[in-house]
Parts: sequence; C-alpha cells; structure tokens
Amino acid sequence: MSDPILSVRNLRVTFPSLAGRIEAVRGVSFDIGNEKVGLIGESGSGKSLTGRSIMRLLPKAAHPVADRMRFDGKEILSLPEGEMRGMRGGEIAMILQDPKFSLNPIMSVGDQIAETCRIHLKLSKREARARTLHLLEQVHINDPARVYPLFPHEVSGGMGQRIMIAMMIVARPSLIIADEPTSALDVSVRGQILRILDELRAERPTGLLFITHDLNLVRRFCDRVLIMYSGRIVEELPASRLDEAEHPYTRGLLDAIPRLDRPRDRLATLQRDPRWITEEAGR
Amino acid sequence: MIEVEDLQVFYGEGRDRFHAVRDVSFRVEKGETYGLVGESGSGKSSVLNAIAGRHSDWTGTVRLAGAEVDPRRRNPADRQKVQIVFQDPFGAIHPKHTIGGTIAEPLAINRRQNRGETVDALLRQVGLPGRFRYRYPHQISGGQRQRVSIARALALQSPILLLDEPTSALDVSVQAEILNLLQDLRRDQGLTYLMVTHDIGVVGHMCDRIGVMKDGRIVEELTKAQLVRGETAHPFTRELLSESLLG
Ligand SMILES: Nc1ncnc2c1ncn2[C@@H]1O[C@H](COP(=O)(O)OP(=O)(O)OP(=O)(O)O)[C@@H](O)[C@H]1O
Ligand SMILES: Nc1ncnc2c1ncn2[C@@H]1O[C@H](COP(=O)(O)OP(=O)(O)OP(=O)(O)O)[C@@H](O)[C@H]1O
Ligand SMILES: [Mg+2]
Ligand SMILES: [Mg+2]
Repeated sequence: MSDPILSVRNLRVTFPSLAGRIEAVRGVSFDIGNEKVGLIGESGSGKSLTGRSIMRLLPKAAHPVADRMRFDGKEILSLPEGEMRGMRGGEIAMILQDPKFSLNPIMSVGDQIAETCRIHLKLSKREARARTLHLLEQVHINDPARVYPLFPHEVSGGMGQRIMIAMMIVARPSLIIADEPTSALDVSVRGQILRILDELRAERPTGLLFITHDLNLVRRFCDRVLIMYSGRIVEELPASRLDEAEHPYTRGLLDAIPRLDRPRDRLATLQRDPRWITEEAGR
Repeated sequence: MIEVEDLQVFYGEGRDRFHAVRDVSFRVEKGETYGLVGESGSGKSSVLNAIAGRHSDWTGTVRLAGAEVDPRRRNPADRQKVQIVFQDPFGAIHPKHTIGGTIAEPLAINRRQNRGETVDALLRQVGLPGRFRYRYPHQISGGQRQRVSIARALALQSPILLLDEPTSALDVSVQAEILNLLQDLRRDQGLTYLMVTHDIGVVGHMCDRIGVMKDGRIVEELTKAQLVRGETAHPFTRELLSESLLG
C-alpha cells in the first residue's frame, strides 16, 4: 500500500480510577488506505474509544497516547484544538454510535443538516434548505418535508442514523469513521446506505473505518477486518476470509451467530480464556 | 397475554398530525414470543411505546393479561405487568444517575427489599461486573448501556417484556448470552415477549410468530415454520429472507 490515509501505532487510552488507572485501549496499531476496514470485537473492547481517539472526541477523563497517529501528514494527538475542529466534520467525519443522542436535542434535524450545508458548501439559507430536503431523500427517508422540522427524539432509530449519514455526505471527508451506522436499519435501507458510502468513495480516495457487530456485512462489504478483544487487536484478516479466522475469540463469534437455516435450542457462547487478554496478536 | 385490536397511533396536532400506526391487530399468547419486523420508520417502536404506556395519543383496544388499558391513565397494577427495553438505551437511562441507581429505581418505586443484592444479581445476569454500579452512563460502552437497560427491565420480573432491538449494540457472542438468558426466563417464569429486530437470524431463533410492518400496517403474519420454509407472500419479507440465505 502506498502512503496510508491514516496510520496509528501503539494507541493507548487510559482512565483514572480509584484503583489506579484503567487502560481501555492497550496498544492498538493499524493503517487505513483507500479501503474499507471493518472493526469488530467484544462489547466493551475499545472499538468506539479507538474511533473517537482519531476524532479527538473522547470523554474528558480519557487520556490518549500513541507513538503515531498520523492523518494527512499531521500528528492528530498534538494538533491544536482549533485546527482539529476544522478537520472534524470536514476532512475526517464520524458517525457516532448513538446518533439521536449525538445530535443537538433542541434543533430540528433538518436545520442541523442545513447548517452543515451552509458551513461546508457556503450555501444561502434557502439553498441549504433545498439541499437538505434532497439529502433526506437520498438517504431514503420518505416524506422529507414532514421529517425536516422534527426534533431528534421524534425520529425513529433508523432515521437518526440516516440523518447522521446525510450530514457526512455534505462534508465529503477523506476519512470516515462509522460507529455502527446501520444497526437500526432494515436490510433494504441498509443496502442503499452502503451503496451511498461506495459512491462517495468512488469520487476520491477515502478511508473507511466501519465499526459493526454484523459479521455478514463485514464479510461482504469490507476489504479487511480487524478483531478487537479487551483493548487490543487480536486478529486481522481479509474480510472475505473471515470464516478462516484462527483466534479462538473470532471462532467463537462465528459460532454464536443465530441462523435461520441452522436452528438451535441454545446459542453457542464463548468460554473466555484469560490468556486472550495478555497474548500478543499473532502476526 | 397481549391483545391489540385496531390500534392507531398519532403524533403531533392539527395540520401536522401524523398517523404513524394504522389498523394494527395481533395477539400474543402467554409464554409466546411475537416478533415485529419491517422497514425503518414503519411504526414498530410506536406500537411498543403505545402498549408500554409511553405514548398516549392512540385509539383502539390494548389488553394486557386480560385487562384493558386506558391510553391516558395507567394504574400501578397495569404498570407492573409490562416492562420495555428501549431501542435507544439512553431512553431508559438517566444520564445523571449511576448504573446501580438506574437498575434499582423500579425496585425502589415498588418498595422491594434487598435492592443491593438484586442489582448485583441483575448485573451478573447481563454479563457486567458488579463494580459497574458506581459508574455513570457515559462511562460505559454502547453495548454495556444496552445491557443495563435490559437489566433494569428484568428487575421487577414483570410477566410481559417489550424488547425493541434489545441486542442491536451487542457483539454476537454477548448477544447469544442475552438471548439464552431471555429464553431461560421465558421457560422458567412463563414470560411473554414482544420483540422488534432487524436481524432475521434473531427472529428465527426467538420468535414463534412474526408480523411484518410497512407504512404503519402489519402487511403479513407468519409462523416460525413458514418463515424457515420461506413461505411468504410479501416482497419485503422475501428480501429479509434473501439476506439470511446470502449468509
Ligand atoms: N469514561 C469512562 N471511564 C471509565 N471507563 C470507560 C469510560 N468510557 C468507556 N469506558 C470503558 O472502556 C471500555 C471500552 O469502551 P468502548 O466504548 O470503546 O467499547 P466498544 O468496543 O465500543 O463496545 P460496544 O461494542 O459495547 O459499543 C469499556 O469497557 C468501557 O466500560
Ligand atoms: N414523537 C414523535 N413525533 C413525531 N413523529 C414521530 C414521533 N415518534 C415517531 N414518529 C414518526 O412515526 C414514524 C414511525 O416511527 P417508529 O419509531 O415507530 O418507527 P420504527 O418502525 O421503530 O423504525 P426504526 O426501525 O427506524 O426504529 C416515523 O415516521 C417517525 O418519524
Ligand atoms: Mg461502541
Ligand atoms: Mg424503532
């Protein structure tokens, strides 16, 4: 791969606690080029914190360090906050895991998208409104004119996710961090959203970090997949070869998927081995 | 256990009044799991919120354990009968309350004893360490928050559980643990579930029957056997199934 868009080495995120420090991300390294990288792993393993470190959108108490966190020739972790703010929602965009709660609760969803249009596309108020209606249609929201004035708590779960995606389309970022952007979408809308992401990437080289629990989606949509367990990347594979994974955690994940064509009384669960926490990733 | 007849759900006033759920009828027997699937925005959460008493602008008949409920007034006995796990974990979790306080709140309202022990047991059941009770919602991950809202809904051991995408934020191994737990509770305590999910594998594993929603209506009802055999008339259901076969 020629110069990656994002290069991360030895990222660590710690929190102070009564019992010393908690290290939630424990030495994560990866590169993202012009490709779609899936990030899967156990609930609480540090996926969202990894994504949010790249945006520098961490909780106040969090302390991130890395040997390298380079985007577009810049060291993200040492960038002045002003410069970082310009980059957020511009060059780098993130779709947060709880979209409805990351939106401004007292501003209509339409006005929020329109504001993004005015900032990024320098549109007038009227143009921004027209553009917003068009964007809502593009993310397959029926009846955009009805949805425009709704507040975030008045839209359905899947509509909230699509509103975040509409805002991202406006910004045309070269790095997209998507934290479970489609978990509330039905299969047909999900397919349409994935197509939109592909269309965006076709216009210019774009790195995509796709955090998800949907293994089928990763297998079909992503190029590569990283698997996290307890703050570290324990395995890395071409996404199409996910089924050949060797780490016992990944194997356990594959076995735990409920399938219509393979009914069972009880689903298989993991026997977690304490060694998974300490062993180095096999590379 | 749950009987819904001719349910209509509305939002807004006057000219902006929106008819989100239209003529929805279905029933769920005691010990059964009924799945609601369908397009994003088709009204699934609206049905659950009306049944749970979270939204009052509806007409039609809703009977829980044989007794009709009033859209505007819930007596304490009605409220004991049903708990809901929200699609957005933040919907049930107060941002300024600790995890322990959130789970204990329904216990406190109902003056239950031994609340500390119950909270510990509930956390353990959903696979979270006991020390999490001292944390705040923003100090845990998305999937951990989802499990907190499941623990809270289980606290009162209500006979009816409404589950709105209860495992959407969980990796499949933790999801398997939660689904096994729900199956055990259903078997041991005869609980009745009404469940919304986009995951056809989860539907097939959990649900005895499903209703497929589109534009506020139930357009098709299927048994699990029909679902597994692919006996469906509606294109949306077929699309759901094609997804699972691509597996
Ligand atoms: N403010 C905080 N203080 C202490 N610990 C925290 C804080 N925020 C997150 N954590 C912990 O850090 C770990 C990683 O959290 P993160 O949100 O990155 O998980 P995740 O992999 O995204 O999980 P999920 O799939 O459930 O969303 C979790 O165990 C969480 O409890
Ligand atoms: N408080 C509200 N005010 C106005 N409209 C609302 C409100 N709540 C829901 N709606 C509308 O009702 C419709 C149905 O929403 P609902 O949340 O029931 O959908 P859903 O089937 O659960 O979708 P999803 O799968 O995306 O969660 C949507 O068009 C939504 O905008
Ligand atoms: Mg997360
Ligand atoms: Mg919903």
